[in-house]
Amino acid sequence: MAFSFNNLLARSQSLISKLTQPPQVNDDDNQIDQLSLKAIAQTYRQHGQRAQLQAVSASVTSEHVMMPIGREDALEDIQRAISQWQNNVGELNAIVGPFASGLSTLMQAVYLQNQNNHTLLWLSFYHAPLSSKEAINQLYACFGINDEPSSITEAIRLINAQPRQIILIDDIHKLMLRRMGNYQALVTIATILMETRQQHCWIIGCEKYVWQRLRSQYQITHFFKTVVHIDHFSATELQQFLWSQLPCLNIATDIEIETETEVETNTPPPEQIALAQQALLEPHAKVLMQTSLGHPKLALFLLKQSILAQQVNHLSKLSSKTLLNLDASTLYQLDEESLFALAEIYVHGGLTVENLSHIFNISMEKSSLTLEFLSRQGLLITQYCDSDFGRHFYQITPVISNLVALHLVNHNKLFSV
Amino acid sequence: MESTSNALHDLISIISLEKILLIMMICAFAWVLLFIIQLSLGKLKVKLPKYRLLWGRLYPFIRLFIWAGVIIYTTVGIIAPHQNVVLAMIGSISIVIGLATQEPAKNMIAGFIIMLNPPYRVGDMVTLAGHYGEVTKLEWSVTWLRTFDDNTVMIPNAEALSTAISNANSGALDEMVAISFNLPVSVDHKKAMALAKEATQCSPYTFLNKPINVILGTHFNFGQHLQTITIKAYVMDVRLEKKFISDINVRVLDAFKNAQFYDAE
Repeated sequence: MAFSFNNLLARSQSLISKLTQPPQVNDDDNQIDQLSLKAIAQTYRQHGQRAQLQAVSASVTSEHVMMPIGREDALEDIQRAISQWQNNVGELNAIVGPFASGLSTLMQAVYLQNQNNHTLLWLSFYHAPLSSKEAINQLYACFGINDEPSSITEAIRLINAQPRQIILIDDIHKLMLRRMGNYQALVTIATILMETRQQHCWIIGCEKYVWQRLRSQYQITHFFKTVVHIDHFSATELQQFLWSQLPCLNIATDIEIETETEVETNTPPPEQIALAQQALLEPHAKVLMQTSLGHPKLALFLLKQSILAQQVNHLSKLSSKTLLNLDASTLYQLDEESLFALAEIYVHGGLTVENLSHIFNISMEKSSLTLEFLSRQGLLITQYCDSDFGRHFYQITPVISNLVALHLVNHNKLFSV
Repeated sequence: MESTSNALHDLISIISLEKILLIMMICAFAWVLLFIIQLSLGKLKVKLPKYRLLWGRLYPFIRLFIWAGVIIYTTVGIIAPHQNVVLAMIGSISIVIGLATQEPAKNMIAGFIIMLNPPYRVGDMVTLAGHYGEVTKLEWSVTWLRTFDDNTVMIPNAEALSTAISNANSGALDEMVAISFNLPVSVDHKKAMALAKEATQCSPYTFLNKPINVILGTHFNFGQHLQTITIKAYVMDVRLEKKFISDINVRVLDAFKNAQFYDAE
């Protein structure tokens, strides 16, 4: 009996430790079945690059845009809002979704759908204003107004004098910064948007947790009439997405249909062939859905790395049991301060050394060391600025954004609705 | 004489060696089970700290039910005493309860009341018997607190129930904190209130899902009029209370100094 008790105790403890312990630390970055966060970060071209930071040019071309998958309802809602604006009942509109849920793709689709019928303006910000004057200046720059900002009334007058257009702002989170002065700047921008909504159709894209913060701080939901929420892909959507990306992965999907050999004249219809080909992807898509929770970039990344690791050239030769997984053990070992820093980096869509130092009231040196530590764990990708270490820019590795967000929510560092 | 020997014989048959061994085994099993549950809940606290208050609250109840189950099963299922013995035991227990005005029994009864109708739970930030801290353990007879000086304080449950209890968060992870600042009355009070609110919003420890209130008051002290700005804001986690207060003080003082409020006199 005593043996049974000991046995039971040992088994129970082993089961508990299996269920509750984070994955074991994987020192070897090249292990086949698990990819460490560090190894993932190193696959980004800009990671560790040393150059002068530049604003990313904002342009939309039909060549690079694919139609968003599973976003038909969202597109319809936005199109309805545009129609209302055309009928002089313009309101502010927002598309809200987590990072890498296809928010930019959706906004680009809106752009392409309307480019023949309307004048469109695609705005992108890379600097958060810290005063009303800076905020007005930024909006003036977007409209090509060269006047010196004098007052908010004048700004509203000038922006209302611009030709009617649909204005898409993809990265509203870059306007938000947890620093003194930013509150007033955002209030100014919100006022200008509200006062010009009849003349211009404003459509903003916002990350889910950033929206939550804007909602808490500024009651932003009171001013937006159409708010379209999108999320990561469902299993079917993910499979569809992966299927659309297969040609870029240099893997063959052609199959031989059995009937072809039996009755030469009876060639199966192309739909049947396509379905049979897609069935090859189904088991992989299921596994990738479990790992990525519908995060398309992560699923695609794991599929690509698995193909490379297994050195296969045909989808049928790829085993879903040996698809690569993530080793996120470094995330589980972070202390309280690092998690707080990570939460602010997440919400701001990336931070410089100087900004983190202001947000946490710490020295530049301490801020730099904190960010560098997180970067070395593979949680951040870094763009170094040669001239000033305070301007080194750190952002969450895009592929693991969902994983990081969930971890931060579970640790009460990001709050959800 | 014969009935006395029968009663003794009955008593001996009740407390046979086999039964004692079986009861001991059941107690050991219950103890192991509780140990595993406590270990699992401890691990869950580390893995999902957002729900640490829930995990902390579960254990006292689980322990109560398991031990109650053990007592009922061993009494009814194993010992299965004769009706007379049961009556005799009830009599004895009544005497014990009669004497239960003694401290341990009082504390246990108070502990039972706290579990059924809790004025505080594990994880709450409370003031008990003059001590302020986080409730770390809720036992049958005592409540354990951890103060911000990292002292562990044991408070008898009877004492906890007999005094007023102040609970800062009542089962939530966030907690309201009030921080006051004095300024010369000549300072622009509207600007001061706006700066105080913005500085509080900028703190990474502020729980933004709940409102930040800034309250203005005045008082006369040491022969001069002063205005008092009180910030009432929520901290994200009760454990960060002191850190939050310090952070808000630094930010608001910086803002006030930049606005040259203290040079106004």
